[in-house]
Amino acid sequence: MSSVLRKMLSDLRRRKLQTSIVAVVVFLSSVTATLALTLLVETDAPFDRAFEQQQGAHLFVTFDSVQATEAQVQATESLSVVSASNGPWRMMPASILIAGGRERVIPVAGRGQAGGPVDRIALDSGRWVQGDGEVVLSRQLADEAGFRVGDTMTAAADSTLPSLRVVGIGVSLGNDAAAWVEPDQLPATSGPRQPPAQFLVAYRLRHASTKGDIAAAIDAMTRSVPATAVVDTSNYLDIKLNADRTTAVMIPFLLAFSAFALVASAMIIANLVGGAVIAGIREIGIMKSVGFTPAQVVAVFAGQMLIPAGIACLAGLPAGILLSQPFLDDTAHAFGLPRTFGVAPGPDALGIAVILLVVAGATVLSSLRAGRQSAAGAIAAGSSPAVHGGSLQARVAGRLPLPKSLSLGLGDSLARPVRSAMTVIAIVIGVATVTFASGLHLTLEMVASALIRDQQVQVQVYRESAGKADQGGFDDPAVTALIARQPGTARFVGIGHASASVAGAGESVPVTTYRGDSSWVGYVLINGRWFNGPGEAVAPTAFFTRLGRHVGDTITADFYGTPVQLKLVGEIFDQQGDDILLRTGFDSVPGKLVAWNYDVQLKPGTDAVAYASAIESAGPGVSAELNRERGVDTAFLLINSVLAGLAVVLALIAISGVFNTVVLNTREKARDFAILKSVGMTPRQVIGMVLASVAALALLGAVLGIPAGIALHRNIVTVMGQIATSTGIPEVFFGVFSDLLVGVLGGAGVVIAMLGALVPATWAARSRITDVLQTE
Amino acid sequence: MTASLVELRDVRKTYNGSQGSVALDAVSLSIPEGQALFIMGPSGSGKSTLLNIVGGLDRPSAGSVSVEGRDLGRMGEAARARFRRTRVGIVFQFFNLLNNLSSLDNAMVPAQLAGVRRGEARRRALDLFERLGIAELRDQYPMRISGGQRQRVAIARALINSPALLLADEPTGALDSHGGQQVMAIFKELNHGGQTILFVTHDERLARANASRVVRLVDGRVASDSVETALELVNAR
Repeated sequence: MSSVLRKMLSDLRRRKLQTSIVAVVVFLSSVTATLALTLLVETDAPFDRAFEQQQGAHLFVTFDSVQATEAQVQATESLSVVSASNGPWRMMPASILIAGGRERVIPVAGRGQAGGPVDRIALDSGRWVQGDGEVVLSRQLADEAGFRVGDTMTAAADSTLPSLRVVGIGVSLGNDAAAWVEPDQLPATSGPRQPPAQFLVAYRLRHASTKGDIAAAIDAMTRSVPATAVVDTSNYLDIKLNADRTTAVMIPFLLAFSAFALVASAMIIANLVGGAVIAGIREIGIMKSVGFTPAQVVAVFAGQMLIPAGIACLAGLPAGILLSQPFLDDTAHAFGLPRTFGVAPGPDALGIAVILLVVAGATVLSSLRAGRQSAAGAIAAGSSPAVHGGSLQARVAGRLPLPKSLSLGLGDSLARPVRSAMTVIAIVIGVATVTFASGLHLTLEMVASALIRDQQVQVQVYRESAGKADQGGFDDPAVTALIARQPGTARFVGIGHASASVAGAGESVPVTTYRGDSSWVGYVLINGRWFNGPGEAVAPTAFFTRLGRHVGDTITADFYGTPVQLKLVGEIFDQQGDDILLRTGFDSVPGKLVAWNYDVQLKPGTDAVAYASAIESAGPGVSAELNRERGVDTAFLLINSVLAGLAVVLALIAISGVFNTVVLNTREKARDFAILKSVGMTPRQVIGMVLASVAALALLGAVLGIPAGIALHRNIVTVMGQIATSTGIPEVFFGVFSDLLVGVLGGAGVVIAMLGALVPATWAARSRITDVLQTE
Repeated sequence: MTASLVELRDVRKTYNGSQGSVALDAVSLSIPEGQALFIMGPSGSGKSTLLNIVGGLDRPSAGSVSVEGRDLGRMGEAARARFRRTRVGIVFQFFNLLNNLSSLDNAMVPAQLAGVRRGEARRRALDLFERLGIAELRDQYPMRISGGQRQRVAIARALINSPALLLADEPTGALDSHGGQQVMAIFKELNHGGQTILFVTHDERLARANASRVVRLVDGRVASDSVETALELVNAR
């Protein structure tokens, strides 16, 4: 064994603490880097990968089983536009009972197997149906209705299906069927007052890259069956668009986190390695005095760092991959995709290589600097403290009316300026991350609340038939009267729908119209005000952007040949459809409008579920939906969970950065602590002194980190809004940082620093005076 | 009879466990107030270990040590720190000053750790600096003054809280002969003023010039302990 290797291994055994710190910091860094990079790569185009894995359908078509026979439907699978298909599966509506005893009608398909050439259903849990009495639910239905494997899906009184046992929860890349049963489980005919059974087919198309390709395929199928047999279609482009939007929202903050994590890790590692080499400078002098060449000295130190760092990276890589899986599960969940085990070998390996490069670079640079000194100089430099006088900071701290131990600690905080700067950067990153994560969490809550509008509108009532009262339906006046006579109604507004041509919009613009006062319905304003008279309208940001218009401009909207001047009086935060829409009053639109749905605000204390049940009990032509049950987009939940996870990891890195600095500082100042203890400093005072030395850095980190986090929050939220739905963000959504929260975040910086410093401070307090002073 | 300030009874100190190397073995000593006791012996005889135990810097493995009637072995870490800060002053061979504090600030540290206000601590330190002839050094940093001057700063620090016992571990070991004489003159004056001092040294000449009592340690045991020896040494000068 060469002397270099022997010395390297011997030092590794001897310097257990240093080796452990290198290993822990590099482990945390590699975990974070792997986590961030895996998420970054795996959240890029998850739909495309899931689509390939599941042989997703480009197109689902639903046929009316009365107008088209099964043979005719099967014949569509041989059309030239089709490359593969699965089905047809019979599908019919079934009424089930959900929470609160309310009924819900879901489409149930008879499907004997989960696999096949197209639309392979991925089972999230449980198994596929094997006989009568069993059902597999779509994850969306299971999430919304709270079903789990083993539960019973209870049939409503008029259901065509019996109650079924949930044996599995699956994911299809299409939302056409909410549940699957054995084909024989479906009855031959639908129940009374229910639509007839349908056939559902999943197709892969030869050309499906554009909406035009999809439209051509639908056209070919429509022509191959009786005229009105195609009753519904859905295609992968729409689903992909939704998933890609959510992905795009994730990317900005994942990038920010990844950059944070890597920069923080690099700082801490460079600090740690540099400090360790400086601590070993006397050893370098001794090595040179007994004949080690500068290159051999560098090799010994590089080995001491790279061996634990390499082992830590090897452990951190799988740990990071494992840690990323729950987030990837959430990602898949948010996108409505099946769970997969995600690994990004290339980027992860690159991240690890960068970390090892930082370790090697910091070691070599520090060792070379030390290696340039003469042997005697290095021994002398390592034997006696480098401090030859007092700093201005120490003199100022000494005059503060503080206990001596605290003023001594404060005076020491900048004793090593570069190390202190790196520690401050680590704290800044930790505090900025926590600030950003807290702010984004609160903003997302506000966004969710603004989108659901459940503070203002608790119930939405829908008219479900064309208003033919003699067919069991309700017309507008009947529903209006129904709502008006409910004792729980505080106020309500009828909503009608129209469309108009607007120059520059490029397509027909949906116009949502309100009858009467609608200023209370809860859309948050970005600019301007809500409309309050004829000829006024509000619109979301995307509308203004596409038309190049501003609040205050007047546009011409053509309602079926009747031009109407509408003044745009407000820009609202609105996330419906493609966001190219207008909201205005009934009195702004020509012709006779009727309301099809109604926003209802309940009186305080009214039971919303009972209210909705009372509305629905009026008959099958009217339904009510609780706004709070609409829930938030699962992407919000995903972002929140990823935020929380990454914030914790970055806070841990910041803590380990402080820990590392304090260990280095206390080791370097072991003699000073021994002296102070010899003249009467108590262990508690030693701990106080160490904590005080980082408290100043913590406060500085908080002072810099909080504004950095707030600025990052504003920028990322703005980018997320633009990417997600091209919307501006109402100023109120940025105002989440109350004085109390800022105080708490400042406290978080101090807590990060204190947590990192406490253990080495305790070690310093417990060190034996005689051990240190007798080694002089 | 003069009251005993320090009492050691059967003190034993081993390192690396009870079967490890023995630094002190069955040492019993009684040090009356006002005495200038020199602990002498060759390297490794246990001199510094004895001083560390009397000063509360280390604990005995067996036996008891009391100063002013207080059993150091029964004190917790914090209580021993408070004891060191107020009842003993320690002067080390290599001064052990904090290089980032001025001389005056160094001297003030034990008082300030004891909760004495900065103004009062400063007044005490300036008085001591005057007495020790180093008033002009108060704003100087330790690394910029001579060894003898540093040791006088260290003595000022040791005396700042008017300790009952002054411990000096080879106080002239790092000084030239002139500096050593100046420092020992200070100790002599302090002892004449009633200050109890425990010296550790292997310098026979130093002991001869200053001791009122000499205890010789060999392999951790007391080989001799006599005032006569000390007087003989003094007379032989």
